[in-house]
Amino acid sequence: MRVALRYFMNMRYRGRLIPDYEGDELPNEEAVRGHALATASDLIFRTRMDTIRSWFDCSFEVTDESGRVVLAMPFDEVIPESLGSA
Amino acid sequence: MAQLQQSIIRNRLLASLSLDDFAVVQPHLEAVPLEVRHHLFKADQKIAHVTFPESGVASIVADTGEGRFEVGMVGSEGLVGVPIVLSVDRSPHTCLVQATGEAFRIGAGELQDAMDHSSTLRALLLRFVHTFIVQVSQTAYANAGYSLEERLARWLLMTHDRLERDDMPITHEFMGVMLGTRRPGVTLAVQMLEGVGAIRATRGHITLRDREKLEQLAGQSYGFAEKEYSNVFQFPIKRGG
Repeated sequence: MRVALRYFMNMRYRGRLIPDYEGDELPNEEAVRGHALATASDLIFRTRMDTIRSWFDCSFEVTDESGRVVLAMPFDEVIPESLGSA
Repeated sequence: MAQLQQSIIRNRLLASLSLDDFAVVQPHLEAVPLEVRHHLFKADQKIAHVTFPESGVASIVADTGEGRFEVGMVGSEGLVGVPIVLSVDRSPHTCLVQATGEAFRIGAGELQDAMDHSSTLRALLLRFVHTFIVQVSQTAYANAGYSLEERLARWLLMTHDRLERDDMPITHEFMGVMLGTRRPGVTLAVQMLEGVGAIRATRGHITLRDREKLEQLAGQSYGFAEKEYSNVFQFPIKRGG
């Protein structure tokens, strides 16, 4: 039986860590990066917030259920490097 | 079985029916519980009943395939099943219970027969449809012009109007679905509202601390639809408000 694992999408913004207590269920650790990219992309392009001047100042620090950081991903990774350097 | 008395009914529409109109619908009313996540109707399927919440909250949501978001909210101020009042038997939207409660429901056919029988009943229900359209229009306005913090403040005020308590059992995930955004955005917005003392957030719960402050934060995104409801019905959308 496959057991879904829970990963917590904690966010760092200008040095401050905003913890995620709910988490998302994902099939495995390999799925974390794709999920983080999709979530960051959605926030960057579709969500306007007063609190966040620029989404590109944010990064995800995704932890697993034991609290281990499995991914640290700045939001600017949403933009492919070939475009970013253009 | 004892006959249902209009005086004990908490749903504002049923409670404000004339004695004659209440007598028409009363024999068909069935008491039902509203259970969280239970569907009151599903997209593109025949709507079997019109539901009048006594307590609790129902959400009308659009399921786009790319995601789900709320387009309308109904509590004891209204009814679920607007298409039936407008002689349409299904909707592209889905309705599910957001907060536990109780309701009376009536078969779609029975309600349509009752409206054919009584023009005053139809008129009252159509007045609710008007206020519901205003609410949905204001949601479109809020989505187009307001930040997530402002929209969250508005949504919490609308939920608070329909619940009779300050403590609201809501997860960030659920608020994300309702506001059509990802959970981390909601987490940030909740922190902001908490930071200014408008709410207190614990896991799975939001407690309203300062309604006035929440109204200030929501700005013009909140209040327009609620004022229209009280203008039309001559009583406020919020019970005891």
